[in-house]
Amino acid sequence: MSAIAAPHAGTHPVRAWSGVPVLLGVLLLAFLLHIAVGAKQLSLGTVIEALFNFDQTVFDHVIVRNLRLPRAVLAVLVGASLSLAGALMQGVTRNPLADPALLGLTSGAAFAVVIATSVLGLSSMVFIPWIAMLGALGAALIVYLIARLVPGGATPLSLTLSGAAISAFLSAVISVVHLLDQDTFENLRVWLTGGLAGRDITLLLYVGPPIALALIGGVLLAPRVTVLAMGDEVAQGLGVKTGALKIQLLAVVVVLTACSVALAGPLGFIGLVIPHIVRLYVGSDYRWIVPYAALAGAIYLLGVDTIARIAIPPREISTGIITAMIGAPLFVQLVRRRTR
Amino acid sequence: MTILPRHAALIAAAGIALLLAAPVFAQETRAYTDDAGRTVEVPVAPKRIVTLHDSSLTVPLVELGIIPVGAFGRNGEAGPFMRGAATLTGVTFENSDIVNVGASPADIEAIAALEPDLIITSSFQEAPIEQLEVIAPTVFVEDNVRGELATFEDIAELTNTQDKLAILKSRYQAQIDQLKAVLGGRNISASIILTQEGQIAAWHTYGVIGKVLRDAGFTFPAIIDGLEGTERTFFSGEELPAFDADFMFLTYDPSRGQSPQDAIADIETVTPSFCQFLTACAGERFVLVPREDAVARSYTAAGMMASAVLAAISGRDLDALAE
Repeated sequence: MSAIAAPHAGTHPVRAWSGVPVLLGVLLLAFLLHIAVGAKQLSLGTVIEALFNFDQTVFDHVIVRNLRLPRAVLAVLVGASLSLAGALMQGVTRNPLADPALLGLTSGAAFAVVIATSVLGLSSMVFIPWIAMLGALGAALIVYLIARLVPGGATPLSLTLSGAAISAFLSAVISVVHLLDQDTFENLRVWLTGGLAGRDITLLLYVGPPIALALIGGVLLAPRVTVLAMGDEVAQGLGVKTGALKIQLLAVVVVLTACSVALAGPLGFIGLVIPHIVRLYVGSDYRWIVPYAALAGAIYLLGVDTIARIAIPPREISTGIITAMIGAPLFVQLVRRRTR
Repeated sequence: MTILPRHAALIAAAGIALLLAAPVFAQETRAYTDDAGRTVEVPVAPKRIVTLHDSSLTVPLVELGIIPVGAFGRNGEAGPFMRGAATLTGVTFENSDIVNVGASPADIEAIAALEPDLIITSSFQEAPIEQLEVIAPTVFVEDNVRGELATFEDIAELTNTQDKLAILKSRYQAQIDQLKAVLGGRNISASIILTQEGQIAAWHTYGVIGKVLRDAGFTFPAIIDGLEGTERTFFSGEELPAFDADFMFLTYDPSRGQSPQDAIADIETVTPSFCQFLTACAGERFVLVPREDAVARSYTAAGMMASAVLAAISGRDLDALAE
């Protein structure tokens, strides 16, 4: 677990910078592929025409501009957010298994949304992101407090275990809500599997600005995460105010996770797997891990969602299912590679 | 001979078990082959029936004039309820002696306490058949094997209510004849969809409204006619224009708090600006019907749907549409 604790000193700037245009190019290709393919086959000319000469009376143009394009934007934002949040959490907790899902944030956000909508009847789009943020923050604090109370304090292991326990507990409470009101809960069942189909793009009006701010904040804080990953004492010795930094990072992670959950439901594995893949290329320097993770996370979710839409036509598979199906074996492979 | 206390207790227990099983043993039985292919000895005239699905089993049973002693109940916001009961049969947990035996899996002890002489279940029910069989003869009646309303035949046979079924069928045929008279043999198309999981869901024959439309002679778009089996199929919002027809029916679900406006908002999310790409919608021939009634296995629901369809097509220029 300590393999990522020490920053990798050898991330050569040329090597690191050289990957950025490649990732941006792949992101652009993945984005174009996402809007070019789908249930209805459209020619490349139609796609380009829809993008640059939109006619709202032509259904094929509506497909591209109003269905595929917003969904691709959602995939980019959610993928980047979850991956960046995972990278920051792994750095700040010095725990390679940390990610928003494993440490209870995703469950906390989902739990809060389920309770607010099914029990309290709060379903307004305006409230959902804030409710999700409260849930994620509450879960994060509880996980941290439990880990602190364990002999030895908030170690990577105690954080992981308490996160798993809180996630399991919140899932159990969600199941109880389901049992008490199965019919109302049916509406949330699909949302809880995580996915991008049929999401209301107007939600972006509320979650877009916080996501953008949190992504920028995460990238700006990344250099100090590198120092923090050396350990609190070393970071303090280098003049970093670790307490304030951790609070800022927690805020960034909570906002990114909660907004992602509000947009797409609880999607797993992105924040866990992508930072590990990124590390294979850029080492352990968070100045590079964080932006790379954001770009790679966006590419990953675009790819996964494209598969979810075209794998078994005409039906779409829930994106969350494909994310887990691809993410789980990928993670096992990464662990095996690290063990060797 | 000395009877030991332990033996006495065993004999007493056996006696109680026999007494509990008395309704079964006392009745004349016959062999019945159910939808799972099992041959079960069932009472010729069952008196205490438990049904383990509401809209598929309890509603048909009540429409045939039999009130079960126990029935499948869902947990809702206002307490347990049977889907379809309030609007179709009017017989609810509150105004009848029907005991709620839970949803799926049903409460085995609650069923046993009712001492039923027949349990009617389906593959939807998760309560183990091995446990149900111990309580009373248990038969599977599947509503997704032979199409809408077909379960009535089985339930009528199991309960000796074929005469009542004949009356229901006769009323239904009269309602269909009314529709046929208005259609006048014209080639008018229809389709029924709903939005679920951010997609469009469709069936070859969707609930009783689908049966009413097909029996009345409506044609369906190729995308619906091409569906096989009785299960729903999901489609991307990109496929919506393929479902366009002279008359389109969209279901909404009031039992889950969904209003007609919510259903419109949902389909707008699935396919933005959907109305301008559907001739049915542009021509104001886009009809919303409550899902609970549209999909129920019920002759009452069939009558309600026949009325809804009749109202939708009456007064329209069907000749122009048929062209």
